[in-house]
Amino acid sequence: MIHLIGSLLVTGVCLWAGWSRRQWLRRRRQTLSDFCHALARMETELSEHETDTADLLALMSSGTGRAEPFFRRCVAGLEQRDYTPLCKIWSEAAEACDLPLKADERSLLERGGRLLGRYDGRAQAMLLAQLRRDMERCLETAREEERREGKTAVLLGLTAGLITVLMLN
Amino acid sequence: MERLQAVREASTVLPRELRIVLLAQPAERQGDWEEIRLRAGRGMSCVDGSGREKTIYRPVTAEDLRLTVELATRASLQSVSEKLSAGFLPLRGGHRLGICGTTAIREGRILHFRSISSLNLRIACPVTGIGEEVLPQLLEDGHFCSTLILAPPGEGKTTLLRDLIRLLGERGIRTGLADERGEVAALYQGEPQLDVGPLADVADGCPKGEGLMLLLRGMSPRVLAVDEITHPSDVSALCQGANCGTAVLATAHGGSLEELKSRSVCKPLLEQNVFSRLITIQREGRQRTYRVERIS
Repeated sequence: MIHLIGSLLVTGVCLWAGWSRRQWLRRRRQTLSDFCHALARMETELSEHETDTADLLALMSSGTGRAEPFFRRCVAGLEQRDYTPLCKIWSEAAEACDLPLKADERSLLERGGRLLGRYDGRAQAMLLAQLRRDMERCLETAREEERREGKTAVLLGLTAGLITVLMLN
Repeated sequence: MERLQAVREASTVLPRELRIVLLAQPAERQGDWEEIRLRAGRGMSCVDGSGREKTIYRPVTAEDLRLTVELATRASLQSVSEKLSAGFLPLRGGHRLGICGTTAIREGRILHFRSISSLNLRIACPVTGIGEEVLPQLLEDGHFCSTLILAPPGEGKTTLLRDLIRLLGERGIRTGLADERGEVAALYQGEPQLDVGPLADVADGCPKGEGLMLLLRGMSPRVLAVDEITHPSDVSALCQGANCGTAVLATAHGGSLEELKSRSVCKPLLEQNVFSRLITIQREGRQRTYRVERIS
């Protein structure tokens, strides 16, 4: 009985590890997709209305899915009495939200904080468009990795669990 | 005390380190400051009322300058591009940040600054009440008589203009003010930062002639006000206003009426007897005296 429970636990943990990896890949893909949409909205706002940065970030705080907590933190950062530079607010928000992104994707996101509010509306829109295109490339990669690795991770987890059980027996 | 508060208010656009050093200076020195100057690679300095500049801190870095502009614009350079093309940013409280550096130009207009070399934080400390002694001489049966304020640069024409607009508003007389450079009302997010009274409508940032026509057509002013008549379009708009029965309040550079008559821009105003009162300003040290005379 104890063996059975132990075997189930080991298998379960390995399966969970595989499933977690799959879930992370899915969250990463969704996060990148939501940021790409948010960047597209920001481009439009800046090129057509030259929206104030605080208002722009407030707009992005809703309707941007997994990017919402990030933008809400940016808005809160701008409202602080003792002003912190926007690039710092931006990178601190990314860190605090613990976004499911790889290191290079996180660096890409941080570029946004270094261009917002520093140029005229049209120039910012162009730079955001470039950032969005780079992020869309990451999104494509993420989709491919999710497709390729997602099921494999679960199966590997299950297999690892069963092998571990057999070896322990 | 007012100037100390003005310095404190203006200093909020400075990075924290510079702000702390600035406000740690002796109060009597702060009370004299009219400008704070930041120049890349030079120490932060303060300019007093006599124009003397004194360095008070370490050399300013490019990041200090960039952060000051970010603070002044609340990280929204795109929202102030019109003002930026004029080389300054209006701040809360009527203060002003002058910007200088390497510009990016499109279609002959400054879009932004590729790099900033200098900033000039001008501290506003407006004076009210100076119009009290002259206003009674400008009214007839409760109506305002068209008035020209004439003096050389730096004598206080804009300060007197602002106070007269304020006082007119307190007497229920609505004024339309064409404030091209934002020096009279200093609008910040649509709100005058310098007191122009309860009944002033301000056209900010547009050429004076167009601003005056906008006010005349849409705001039904009883008085049209403008600072510094310099262009034929200003004169044309003022004449149109006078022909519509609107009184006019304006300032012009000059030492005397004779000098003004010799300038072709202002001739139509004088020939058509648009103004019935002339105020000239005499300055002795910090004291000013205002002389009002009837001219038609």
